[in-house]
Amino acid sequence: MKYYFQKTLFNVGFDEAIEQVTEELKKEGFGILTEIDLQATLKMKLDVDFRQYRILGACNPSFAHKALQAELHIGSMLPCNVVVMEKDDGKINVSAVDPHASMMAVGNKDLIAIAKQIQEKLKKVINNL
Amino acid sequence: MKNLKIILSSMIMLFIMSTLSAQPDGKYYFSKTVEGTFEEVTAKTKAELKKQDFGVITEIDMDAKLKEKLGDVDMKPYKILGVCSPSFAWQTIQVEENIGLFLPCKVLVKDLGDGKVEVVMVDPAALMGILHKEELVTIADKVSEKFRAALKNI
Repeated sequence: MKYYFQKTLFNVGFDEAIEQVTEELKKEGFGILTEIDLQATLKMKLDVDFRQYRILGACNPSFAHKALQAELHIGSMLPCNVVVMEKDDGKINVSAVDPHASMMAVGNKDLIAIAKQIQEKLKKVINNL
Repeated sequence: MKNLKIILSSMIMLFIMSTLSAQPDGKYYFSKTVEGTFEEVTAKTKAELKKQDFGVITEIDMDAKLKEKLGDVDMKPYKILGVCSPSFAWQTIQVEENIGLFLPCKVLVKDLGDGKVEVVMVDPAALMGILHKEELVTIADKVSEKFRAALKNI
């Protein structure tokens, strides 16, 4: 199952891509609550070399609140992640989790309706990059 | 006689393990409610996760965040911990490069009031089930086992 939306960016550096993603997320009402530099974490903990890879935890407070009202344990799937990574050819790949796909595991109808709305917003973020 | 005992006890163990791993539809987490203060249970949760080699790499106080952003929301303390075992993360990412979209694994600490606190750990096996990739499910099962072990000790 495809569980994300993605786009490859050309002529954009890694940091610039993160700025663009942050800006587009903001336009759709998502703030970034967490940020993990996976490359640095893996280097520090395991001494392995990995590509540039940043995990951004994005959250739209009003949707998060609606989702929590529909399903109190849904915090275990929040925030929604957006990954920015550098591919072997130097191009930047941005992907956003498809909340509709991940909420399928929950099986709560009210939640699925909310997830669809969030899905639209995250799709827009990726399309506008 | 001794052999029979061993066989019987391992059969019972297998039975217990199989019922534990069988999640009903829609159950995507393990949870446990304990008595104590929110702070105590949070600290104990972190300590037990650490014993299983999971570090806490992100922490969100959802109640405070929603109050700050939306104003009129009153939620009991609700913490979202992002926990990660670097070696499992590394194994997983080599199988599925986009798996960062599901990392880190989330653990909730929720104040239920009346001195009761609930700890909820996402079941990675349930999440990975939607991806239909055998290798990922194998790794996720190992992570689920560690989460169960941590939860048992809280």
